[in-house]
Amino acid sequence: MDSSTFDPRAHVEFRPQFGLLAYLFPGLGHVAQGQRRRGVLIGTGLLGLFFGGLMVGGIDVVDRREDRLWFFAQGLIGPLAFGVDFLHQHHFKVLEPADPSRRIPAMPRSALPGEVRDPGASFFSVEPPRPAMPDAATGQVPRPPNIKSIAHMNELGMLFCGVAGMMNLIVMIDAAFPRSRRPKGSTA
Amino acid sequence: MNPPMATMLVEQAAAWILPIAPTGSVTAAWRPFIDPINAHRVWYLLLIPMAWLISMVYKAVRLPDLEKYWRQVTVMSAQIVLWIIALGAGLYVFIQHLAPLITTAR
Repeated sequence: MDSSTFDPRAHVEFRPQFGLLAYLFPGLGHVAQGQRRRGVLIGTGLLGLFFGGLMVGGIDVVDRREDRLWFFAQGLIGPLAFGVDFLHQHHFKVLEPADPSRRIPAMPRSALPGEVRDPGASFFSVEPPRPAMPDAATGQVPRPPNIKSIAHMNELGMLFCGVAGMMNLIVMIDAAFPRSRRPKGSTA
Repeated sequence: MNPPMATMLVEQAAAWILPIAPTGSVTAAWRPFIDPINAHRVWYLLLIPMAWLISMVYKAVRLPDLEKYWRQVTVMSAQIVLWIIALGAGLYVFIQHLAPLITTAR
């Protein structure tokens, strides 16, 4: 593209409210600027990456306790990542009891095969695991709340969600500096 | 093709991706967004949707106008996939053929 079409004054423009909107929901910053199609495409791509990661690796890929460095990137997608992590920590995990002899405190962990959440626990509470008992009517053994992903599925799921967050950082910067990459007179 | 044969082929194909037993009995129903998919044999194919979605976001941010958006997205996705393949091939040649030469030369 011809560089002469850029408006040099546009580079100093800074609108943090659009960057904040882009953080609150992917693509919202551009929609709020009137660039509806651009915002919808951005939102579709970012949500596709994030939910694609959850589809590949399950909810286990968003975990601020076990995969803290990955969560730094994933958290850039906005409150959505924190919501998914909260759900993972409080609805899908079980509480490993403390081991005073080894000075290990009680901590949440993923349920193992043969373990289930306490059926009496409220939706957002982390309780010690219960052994999975076969159903009296069907004889089937209930599964853990979620299955922990391993190997490529775990790596790729975390990568999808992490890339979604890092791409949203680019989107936030673009939304906060609205005309920095637009040619003069462009409204797209 | 008779219906049982078609059913068997569909189940075999599904078993490649989803954790469904190819015998016709669903051993553990997959829970989307909760359980991982079982694509360990075809994990590298996930590069294609990832490249496509990254290109969608990048081109939506970068293009001055969105007139040729989908064409640009397609081109960028293809570039990513081809460069990753080239990178993989280059690393293969280096690890399998060049690195042994370096180690034996010493």
